[in-house]
Amino acid sequence: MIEFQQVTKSFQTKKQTVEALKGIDLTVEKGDIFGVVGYSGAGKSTLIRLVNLLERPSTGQVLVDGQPLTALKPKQLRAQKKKIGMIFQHFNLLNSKTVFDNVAIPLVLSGTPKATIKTRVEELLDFVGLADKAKNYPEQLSGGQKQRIGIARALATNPSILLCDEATSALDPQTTSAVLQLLKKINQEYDITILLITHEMSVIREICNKVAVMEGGRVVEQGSVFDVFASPKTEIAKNFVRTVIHDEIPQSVLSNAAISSTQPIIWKINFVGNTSSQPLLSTIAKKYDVHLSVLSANISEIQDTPFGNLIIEVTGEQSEIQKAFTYIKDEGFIVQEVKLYD
Amino acid sequence: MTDTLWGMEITTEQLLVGFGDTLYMVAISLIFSALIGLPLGILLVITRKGHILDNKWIFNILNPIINILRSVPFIILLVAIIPLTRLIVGTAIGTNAAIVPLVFYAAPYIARLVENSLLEVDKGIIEAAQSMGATVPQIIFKFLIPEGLSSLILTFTTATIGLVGASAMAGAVGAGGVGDLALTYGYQRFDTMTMVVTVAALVIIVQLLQSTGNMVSKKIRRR
Repeated sequence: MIEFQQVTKSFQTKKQTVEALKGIDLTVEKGDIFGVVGYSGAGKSTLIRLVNLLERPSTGQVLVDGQPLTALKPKQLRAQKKKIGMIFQHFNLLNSKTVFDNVAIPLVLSGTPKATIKTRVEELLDFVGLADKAKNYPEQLSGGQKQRIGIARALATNPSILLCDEATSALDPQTTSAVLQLLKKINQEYDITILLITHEMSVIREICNKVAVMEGGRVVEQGSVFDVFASPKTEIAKNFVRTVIHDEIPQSVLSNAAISSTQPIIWKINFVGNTSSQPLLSTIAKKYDVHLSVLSANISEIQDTPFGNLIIEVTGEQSEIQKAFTYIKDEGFIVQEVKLYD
Repeated sequence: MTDTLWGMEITTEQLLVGFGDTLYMVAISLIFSALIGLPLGILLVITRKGHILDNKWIFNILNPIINILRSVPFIILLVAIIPLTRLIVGTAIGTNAAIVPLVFYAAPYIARLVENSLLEVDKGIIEAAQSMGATVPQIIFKFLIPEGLSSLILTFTTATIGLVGASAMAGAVGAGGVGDLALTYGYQRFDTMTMVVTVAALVIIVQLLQSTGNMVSKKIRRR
């Protein structure tokens, strides 16, 4: 659907050339909600702007539906842009126009008949739940409502792709959640592929199925959201995952007497999906002659699948501990020993 | 001198004709300078770096020309372009002849003010327009101008008031108007009453223009 092939982008300032993107290879499949996460300056804004040529790649290609955008003639490009909707962090609505006219504008631009515009806009406002605000002006709306209008406007021309540029970064947590659910609904009901960029890992967790982590103009890690959350490989990905999933032993627990020996054996166990409901700990304690104490535990949901993190300290005979470890592995859990002091 | 008012040396009729001349000069030169200044102002915005028609040639030529025209004092401009005025209206004296230098004075002024107004429009709006696949004319007329309209109204209010002031100086080429009465009767003939009445008339004109402009602008801005 969207394909980045060896894309670089550099900006010329007066004194130097800034390389915003240093060779991006990325594929967004049809039906994906693809999230790109990174700190500011990582190049993600530039990346998303390449998809509708708000920025042109310096080298490499961006393909949309198999077509390289830069090869299109201006007229073809304008037609292609109508298939790509975009929403923005600061909404970018026209303050001088009513909600109705704001949503209608992409249709007006393509010369749609008035009657058609009216039905389409009413349908869209209904979909985003703001049918009663048609005659209001943007500044009479809250941030969340403005973004809904932005979404309605982006959907007006029936796009197959929706680009979300930090769409929830200016919203409070509750509004963010509502807007994200709306995006999910769009993805499912209208079969619209979504590419979003954000600096909040919680956004990725809530709606994305795939994620790419960016740093310094490169994609340093990518994969299914589940894989990246379950076992992040790069340091930056780990940092991002940590912002939403706490898998560290709390400092208070560490300093407390909870850890008995000087060289404690500590395991980190990841539960995935249905396995999280199995009574693992009690089974081990019954089967083997070991003592278990829980240092840290939490369960979160990624992609509608429960995902648990358990950190336990094990004491007992070395052989029994070994057997228990093997048992956990054989049962299909991801288990690893954690070294406290490196 | 039977038809005088409050002991003025000028007749009421003279005053009314002066009023009419001022309005005529201001209105006609406003129309022409807007027709020239508005497109130039838009051009100054859209040809600058990173904007929708990024073109350093046009921008770097237009920008200093406007600056130069803006630096020439109106009274000098009035005299300097007399040959051109004669070419356009056939005479260098009278109300119509004053319109040419007034346009030369106001058009670059309007271009600069329009530029400022349109630069206030949030870049994000332009980005949104581009993301929708809007053409350059569509971006100008459906996004840039509607979003900058409230500010543009104030711009044209300022320009109109500037023209009222400049038209008073056009008396130097026998243009007539309220300002001319103030100069020739009030100032040069020491007719204080005429001076007071004509200046008061100018004050009222300016006040009316400004408050109308403010009102319309506010209504459009809806804030």
